[in-house]
Amino acid sequence: MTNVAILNLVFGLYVLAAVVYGAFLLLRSNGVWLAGLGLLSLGALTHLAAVIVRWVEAGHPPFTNLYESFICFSLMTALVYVGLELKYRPRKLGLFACLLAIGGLAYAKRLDPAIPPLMPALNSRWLTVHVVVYFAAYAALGISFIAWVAYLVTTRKGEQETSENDRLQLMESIGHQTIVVAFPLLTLGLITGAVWAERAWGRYWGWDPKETWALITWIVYAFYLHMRYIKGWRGRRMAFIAAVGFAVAMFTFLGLKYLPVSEQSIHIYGT
Amino acid sequence: MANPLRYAILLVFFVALVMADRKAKRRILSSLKLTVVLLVLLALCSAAGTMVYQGIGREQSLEKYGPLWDGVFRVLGMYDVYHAPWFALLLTVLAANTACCLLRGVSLRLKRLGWMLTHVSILVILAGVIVSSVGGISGQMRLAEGETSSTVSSRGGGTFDLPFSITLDDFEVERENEPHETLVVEERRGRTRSVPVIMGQEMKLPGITAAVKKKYNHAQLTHLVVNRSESDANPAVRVGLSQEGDNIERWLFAESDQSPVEQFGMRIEFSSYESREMLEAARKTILAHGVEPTVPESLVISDGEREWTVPAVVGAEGQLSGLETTVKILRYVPDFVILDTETREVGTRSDKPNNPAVLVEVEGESSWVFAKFPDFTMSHGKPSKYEMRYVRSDSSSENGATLSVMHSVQDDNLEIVYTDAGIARSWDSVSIGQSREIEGKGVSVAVLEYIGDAGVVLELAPSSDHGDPPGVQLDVRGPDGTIRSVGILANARPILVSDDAALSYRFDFPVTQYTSRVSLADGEEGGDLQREIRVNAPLKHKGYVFYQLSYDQNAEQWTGLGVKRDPGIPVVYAGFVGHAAGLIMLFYVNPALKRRRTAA
Repeated sequence: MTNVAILNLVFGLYVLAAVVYGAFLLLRSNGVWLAGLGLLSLGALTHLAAVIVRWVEAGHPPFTNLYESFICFSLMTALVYVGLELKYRPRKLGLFACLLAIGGLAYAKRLDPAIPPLMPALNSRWLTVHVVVYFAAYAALGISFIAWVAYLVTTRKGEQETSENDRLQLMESIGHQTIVVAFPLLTLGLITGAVWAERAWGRYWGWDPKETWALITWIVYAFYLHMRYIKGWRGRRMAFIAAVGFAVAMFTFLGLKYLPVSEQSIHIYGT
Repeated sequence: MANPLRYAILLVFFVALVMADRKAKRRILSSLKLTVVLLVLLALCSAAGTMVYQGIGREQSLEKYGPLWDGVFRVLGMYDVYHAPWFALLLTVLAANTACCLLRGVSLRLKRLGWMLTHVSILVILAGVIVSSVGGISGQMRLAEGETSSTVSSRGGGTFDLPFSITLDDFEVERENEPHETLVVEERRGRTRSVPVIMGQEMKLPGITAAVKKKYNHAQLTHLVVNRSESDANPAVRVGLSQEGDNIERWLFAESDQSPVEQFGMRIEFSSYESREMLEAARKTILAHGVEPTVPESLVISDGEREWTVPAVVGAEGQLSGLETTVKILRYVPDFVILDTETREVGTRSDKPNNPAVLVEVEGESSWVFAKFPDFTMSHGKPSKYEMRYVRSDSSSENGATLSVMHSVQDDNLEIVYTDAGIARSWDSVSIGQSREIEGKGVSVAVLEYIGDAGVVLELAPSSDHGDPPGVQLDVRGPDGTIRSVGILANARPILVSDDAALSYRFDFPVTQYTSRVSLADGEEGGDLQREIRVNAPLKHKGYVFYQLSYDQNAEQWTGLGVKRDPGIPVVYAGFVGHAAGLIMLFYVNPALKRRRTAA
C-alpha cells in the first residue's frame, strides 16, 4: 500500500500549496505565486506517481471504485490547473483549485483505500480512457465553475475600475476556455462509454440513469456553447449556465445513488 | 419490438418539417430559440425517466405511487419515457431543427467544416439508432453445458432462429489462485475499511486493538466458558456428576435461572452469595422450605422463517450457526422495574421471578425481552428485525430433588446442599475437585472449577469438514488491558468487538472472468468452429454477436448469452467518429488556425 503513503505526502503538498496561494491573495507577490505553483506542480507530479504506483501494485488500472475516482478527480484538478497557470496565469484562483483538489483527496480519505479485485465487467481496455477523459472533463468544469464564481463575486462589487475589468475579462476567459476544453472530453467520455457498453452488454445506449445524466450534462454544456457562439451571450448569464452545468455534472458523478430509482441502475457505485 | 411504421411516420414528419423550413420566410424551424426549447425539454424529459421507475407493471406502480399519480404517470407514459411516442417526436423535431440549421448554413469553407461535421454526425447517430431499431434483432439464450440450440428468446417476447446452431461445450468461472481475504472494519462513526489478514499484526480500532491469533481453513464455532476478569461479577462452576459409570460435566451460572440442569432425576443449580452469612441464611431456607422452583430458560430468536434457541445465560455471546449476527445476553433481572423514568435505568423489585427479563444485544442494538410479555420488547436503539422470545417453562415439578451448589465470595466457600421434597436433606462443605456421594441416590458430585466472572465465548475450532467456512480467531484488547478472544467465521455478518467497531472476515477467490466455450455448426459446411465468449470480449459470427451476460450462480452449469444482430452499429460509430472529429476541428484546430492568421 505504498500508494496510500505517497498520497498522504501529496495531501500535505496540496495543503502547503493552498496556504502559499492563500498568502499570495494577501501579498500579491510574484515570488509567493511561483512558490504556490511550484508546490502544486510538485504535488500533482507526486500524485501522478502515486497513481502509477497503485497501478503497479494492483496490476490493473486504478480507476475501479469511488475511492479511486476521487483520487483521479483530485489529480486531474491539479494537473488542469497547473496547465491553466502555464497558459493563462489565473494566479488568484490557485487557492480555490487547491481546495478542490484537497476536497477530492479528503473525501477519498473517508473511503476504503484497499485495492479491490478487478471485476470482469471492468476488465476492458476502454476503462482507462473512459475514466481519465471523464475526470479530466470534470476537473476542467470544476475550475471553470470556480472562475465563474470569481467573476460573479467581482461583478458584485459594483464599481468597475479598469483594473477590475481586466480581471473580469481574465475570469470570463478562463471560465469559458475550460468549458471549451472540457466539452470535447465530455463527448469523448460519452462515446467511449457507449462503445464500451456495446462491447460489454451489447447495447451502446440503454437509458441507464448514469448514461442519461451524462447526456443531460452534455446537453447543458451544448446549450452553453450555442448561447456563446450563436447568440454571443457573455458575462453573468453564462456564469449561471456554467454553475448549473457543474451542479449537474457533480450530480452525475456522485448524486445518482439518491435517485429513487437508483437500484435499477447497473453502474451506480459507492455509499 | 421495432415498429417500422412508427419510424416511417416519424421520417415523413422529419422530411415534411425540413421541406417546410426551406419554403418558409420566417426561420422558425431553424431558429436557435427552437433548439433551446428542444434541448431544455430533452434534458427535462430524460431526467424525468430517472425519477420514476421504468418498465414496472401496473401492480407495482400502483403500490409505489398510489392510484392518482399512477393514473397520471401511466397516461403520460412516464413508465417508459424513452420509448414513449412524444419522446420520439421530441427527438424527431430536434433532428429536423438540426437539419434545417445545417441546410441554411451549408458551406464548403474550411472554417465551417467542424461545425457541419458535428451536426451532420448527430443526424447520422440518430439514423443509426433507427437502423438498429428497425433492422436489428436482439435477445438472450440460456445454454446448459452440452446443450445445442439455435433459438433465441427475443427481448420483446417471442423467439427468433439463428442460421446456425450453438453448443455450450464448457462454462468456466475463472478465479484468482490466491484467496482475497480481508478483515472489514466498520466504525460506528467513520469509514469502513479493509485490512489485510496478517497473523499477529495489531490493528487499532476505536478504543481497542485487535490481532489475528489463529487462522483456520475450515472452522466451526464451539462454546467456551472463560474468565473475563478477576472480579466475581458472574460466578460459574463446572460440576461433574457420575452415576454407575455415567459421567457428565456441566457449567452452572449463578446469575441465571437457566443453568439448572435436570440430571439423574434431580435438578442441579448454582448460587453465589457475597458473604458467608448470606450463604448460611439461604441454606437454612432451602433446608426448611425446599428450593424455589427454577427452570431451564432460553431465548428464542426468529427471523420470520427460522428459529434459533440460545441459553439465556448472562455473558453468552457470539455467532449462531446460520444466524448471521452476534447475540449477546447482557443482563438478567428477575423482577423488572424501571428505577428512574428519566434515565430509564432498570433494576429489580425483588429476587422473586415476578417479571423476569433479559437484556439482549442483537446487531449492536440492545433490548429487554420479557418472559411474561412475549409481545413486548423494550429497545434502546432501532427495533431489531428479529423477533425474540424469552421462554421459561414454569411447569417443572415443585417437589423434585434439588442439588444446590452454593458459593460465598467473601471466603470462597463452596457447599453442596441436597433436598428431596423435604424427605432427604443434607449439606456439606466441599473443595474444588473433591467428590461427594449423595446418600440414597447413588450419585456422586464434584465441583471441578470455579470462575468468578464467567463469559460464554463462541470460539473457533478447526474442522475436518471441507464444507465449513474458513475463520479467524482474534485477540481483542480493551482499553483496560483485558484480552478477549473473538472467533469470526468467513463471510458472516459483522461482529461487534467494541462499542464503536464491528469486524467481519471476507474470504473469497475473486472472479476474474466468465468464459463460455462454444461450438458453432453451420449445417451445410460441416465442421464445428470452437470459440470463446467472455465478458468484454464478445463473439462475432455471421453478423451475429454473442455476449457473456449471466450465468448459473449455484452450480456454474449454464450460461446466459446476449445475442444480437445490429446493422445500425457501423452507422452509429461513423457518427461517433465524425462528431468527435468535428469537435476537435471546432475547438482545437480552428482556434489554432485563427491564432496563426492573427499572428501573420
